[in-house]
Amino acid sequence: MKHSIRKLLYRSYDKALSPDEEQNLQQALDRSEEMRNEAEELEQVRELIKSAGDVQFKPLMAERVMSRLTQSTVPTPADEFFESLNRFFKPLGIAATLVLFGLLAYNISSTGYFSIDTLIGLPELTVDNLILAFQ
Amino acid sequence: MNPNQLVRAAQDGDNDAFQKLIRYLEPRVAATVIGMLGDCQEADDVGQETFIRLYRSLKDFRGDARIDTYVTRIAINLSLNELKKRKRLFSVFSFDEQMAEPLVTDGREENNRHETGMLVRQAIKKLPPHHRSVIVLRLLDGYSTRETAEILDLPEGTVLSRLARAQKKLRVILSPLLGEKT
Repeated sequence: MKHSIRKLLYRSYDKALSPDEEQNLQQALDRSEEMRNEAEELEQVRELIKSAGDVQFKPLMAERVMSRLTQSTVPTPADEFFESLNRFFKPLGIAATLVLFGLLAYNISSTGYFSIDTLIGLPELTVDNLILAFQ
Repeated sequence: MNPNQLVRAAQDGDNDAFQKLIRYLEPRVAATVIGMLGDCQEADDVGQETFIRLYRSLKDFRGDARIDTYVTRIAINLSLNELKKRKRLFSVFSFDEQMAEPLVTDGREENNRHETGMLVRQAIKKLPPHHRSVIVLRLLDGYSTRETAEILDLPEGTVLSRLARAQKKLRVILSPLLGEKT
């Protein structure tokens, strides 16, 4: 009983109670001094918390945010340098990849079978070939 | 210009309007972020990050929610992320954030509104993040229970039960202050 009334007491501050609930709460408050003290303390706690909401950031928050936004939208010299590298090497990288795939396809089609050696165009790797390579 | 006009102008690339919008939203974002993290450098950083995120997502804002609810959602999520980071850091050093700042009050400070506010924020910092967020949104920011639920993406019942538990804890933590006030 006490638990459910306490629940009603806390809820009464944050949501409208039904007429029955309101009546139950009021009766409990009229009956119990402990409940009345709790309600009073709760009221004080809520007032104290509300009074603590008057806070501020350090001065010039808007200016600091705008300055950060301007910095992040205006590219730095380093950004411009890497961007130009990217502009130059990106098409080169794509062209090199296409050539590589072309060569791989050619190697496979000309030898007629698929292996790592034919894929990258190396002669067949045997012990004799290795000895010859190191002589 | 009213907030909606400022939003529309900022969406059209008017930086002056965005700056005015920041000034309009700043008290609410400050209450949320400082309420969640305390008055510290990280709170200022999270505040800046909140507005930068708002700027970047402004194009997607269609006005379904109020701009202050929208920005509070960003602020509370960034604050919760910051608390997670802190928790990881504190666990590395075996240090409990909640024990870091004892609630201190002395007779000289009791009538000072600023000091009382500071003590209350200290008390809020002792709550776990999921309790802290409902207290900050509902009582510090003054959102309704339904708005709090929407911002935190929680059912209203969960918000109510968390509010009740958080207030019970705060009654205990703030009891020295309540004793002085009565």
